[in-house]
Amino acid sequence: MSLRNRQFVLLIGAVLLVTGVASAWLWRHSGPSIHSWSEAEKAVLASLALESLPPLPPDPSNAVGDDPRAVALGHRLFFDTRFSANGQVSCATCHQPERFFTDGLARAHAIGTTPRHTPSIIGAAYSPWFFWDGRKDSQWAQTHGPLESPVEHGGNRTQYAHLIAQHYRDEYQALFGPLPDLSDPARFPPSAGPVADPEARAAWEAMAPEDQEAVNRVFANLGKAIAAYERRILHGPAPFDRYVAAVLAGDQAAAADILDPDQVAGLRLFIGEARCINCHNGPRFTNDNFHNIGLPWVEGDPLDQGRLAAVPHVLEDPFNCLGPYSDASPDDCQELRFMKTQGPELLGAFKTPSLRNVAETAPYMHTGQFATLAEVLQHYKQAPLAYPGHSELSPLDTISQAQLAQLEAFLHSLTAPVAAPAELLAPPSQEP
Amino acid sequence: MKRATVLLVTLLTALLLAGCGGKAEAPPAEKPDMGGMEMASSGEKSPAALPPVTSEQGLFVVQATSQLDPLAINQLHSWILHVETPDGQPVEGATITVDGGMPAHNHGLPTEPQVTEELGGGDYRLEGMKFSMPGLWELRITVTADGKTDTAVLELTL
Ligand code: HEC
Ligand code: HEC
Ligand SMILES: [Cu+2]
Repeated sequence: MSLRNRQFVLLIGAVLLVTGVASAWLWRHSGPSIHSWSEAEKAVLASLALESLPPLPPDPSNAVGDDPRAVALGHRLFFDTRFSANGQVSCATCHQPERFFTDGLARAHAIGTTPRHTPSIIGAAYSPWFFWDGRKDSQWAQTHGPLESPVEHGGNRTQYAHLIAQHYRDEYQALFGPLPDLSDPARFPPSAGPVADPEARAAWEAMAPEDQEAVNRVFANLGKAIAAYERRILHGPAPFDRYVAAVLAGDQAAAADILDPDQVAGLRLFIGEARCINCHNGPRFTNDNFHNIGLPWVEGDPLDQGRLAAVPHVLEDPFNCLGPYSDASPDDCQELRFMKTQGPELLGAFKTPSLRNVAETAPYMHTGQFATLAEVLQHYKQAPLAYPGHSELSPLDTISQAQLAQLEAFLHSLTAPVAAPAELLAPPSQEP
Repeated sequence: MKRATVLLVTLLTALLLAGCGGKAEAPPAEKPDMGGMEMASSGEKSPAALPPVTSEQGLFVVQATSQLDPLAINQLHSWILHVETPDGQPVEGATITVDGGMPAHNHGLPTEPQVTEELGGGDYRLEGMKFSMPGLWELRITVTADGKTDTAVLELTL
């Protein structure tokens, strides 16, 4: 072999070697890997990422919803235990900031025990409906539920109006104008409201309609300030969101550092074969709609019709979007105007909860039926028949136990610190 | 044969490298076969303007255009319905009701949409539409005009 020939062969060899290494590199970095997703799948991933959540739109029914003074007042009210029957209960008793605004209990406990489980309030301002059954159509009207519930705050409307006049007069008047003169106890008893307590109820029914009206307005405004505070409690970006950003940027190496292979496999199941995305969709992992998922009925519980029973409540509620205490025009009340009022789907249906931070907010479901995510996933696999109503689920026959564990691993990637100014996550420092 | 050896070694090295590179990561999970309806990522998304559909007894042709473009889940929005006769005459003064749902999931619409305004020229405004899941939806548009009623069934994929 001549020198020239040998050089030629070496050259070819070198070229082949370089090509080989290059293609190996390409294979490793762009070829099939657990982190490569089709364009359609990427669109689905993007739709779930926090990036695609628009800024919180204003609540037309709450004119002070984005007023910083209302946020400050609401912050104080949220933590103020004077707004209760025994001086010991505030919203934060059950919605504890350090527990992602939940309480860790199956059923909430304050003055008594509630029939349902405490959901988080993080990002709830995006939802058109409040409570598991959606019996309130605004966050400010929602506050009236716990405030008047005999087992939660246990107080009543005139009591709360008097407390505002006593402790928050200036803050209130700066936002809402003059408080009514509540000084005549014959017209404004210390304890009156349409509540379970017979004495307070009788006192309320004895009040003049215009005095009731005046108290209702204070009650509505109190709720609007609390809602302004809650509107600042939002979801922060979780590992899942960083993963999606890496995938969309084509950076598989970065993606691989964020979620482990089990979590990625779980994500693939979540948007595919396990069908979770049918209901837990969008950047908050909820469609804010009501579904019957055939949860086990808890021995001794009264029959809970869920959404079906809530529909007439929200329609008749004087504090709804179309009512006299709402700041919205009828055009702004589309959710209420076009609300689904009938259909077999409403029986036993409850609101799809967000799955953000779900790994940190056990127990689960509207009565805390399940203690662990593993139990939740077994339920989805088996999809038992519902009572009452019909379950929308069908059994996940093709999903193995190992895959359920992957789904669970994925749910752990949705945990993130609350996105809110640090001072809003603790009781306000200064008492009035 | 030195030449052959060099070539062989080069090729083997290249193949080996390629092989190793791939081995580090598992192959992608098989796409499940959900009959096309349950995978959010399967099925072409419908355009905002759906193709015209002739009603079941052939009385009307209904063309529906979403005012939310592109179509998206979880957003309340309105549609414009255009109704005409098979020979292209706009149908005016009609009473229109709308329902629907997801045939594969056996549930209805998450809202109760209503026709709130007749816009003229056979156009009607449909308000309160919402889709709460990805997948195939059906809209049943029932038109009553001049004492005759017929239903057009539209399909769309989100
Ligand atoms: C005794 C514990 C307790 C107290 C106190 C309490 N809550 Fe709740 N909260 C709950 C429970 C339980 C639910 C669900 C009840 C239901 O759906 O019927 C809930 C539901 C909510 C929701 C609905 C979330 C959603 O996504 O639908 C919001 C918002 C909320 N509470 C805010 C507040 C505010 C504001 C206060 C203070 C005025 C408050 N809560 C006081 C236990 C409590
Ligand atoms: C048909 C709609 C639907 C589908 C599909 C669905 N969910 Fe749910 N999910 C809900 C509803 C509704 C609830 C609340 C039910 C209740 O409490 O009555 C819920 C509750 C949960 C909870 C408890 C959250 C909490 O804070 O209590 C978890 C976790 C969960 N779902 C995960 C999943 C996973 C994982 C999948 C897929 C295997 C899935 N879901 C599929 C509608 C659905
Ligand atoms: Cu469906």
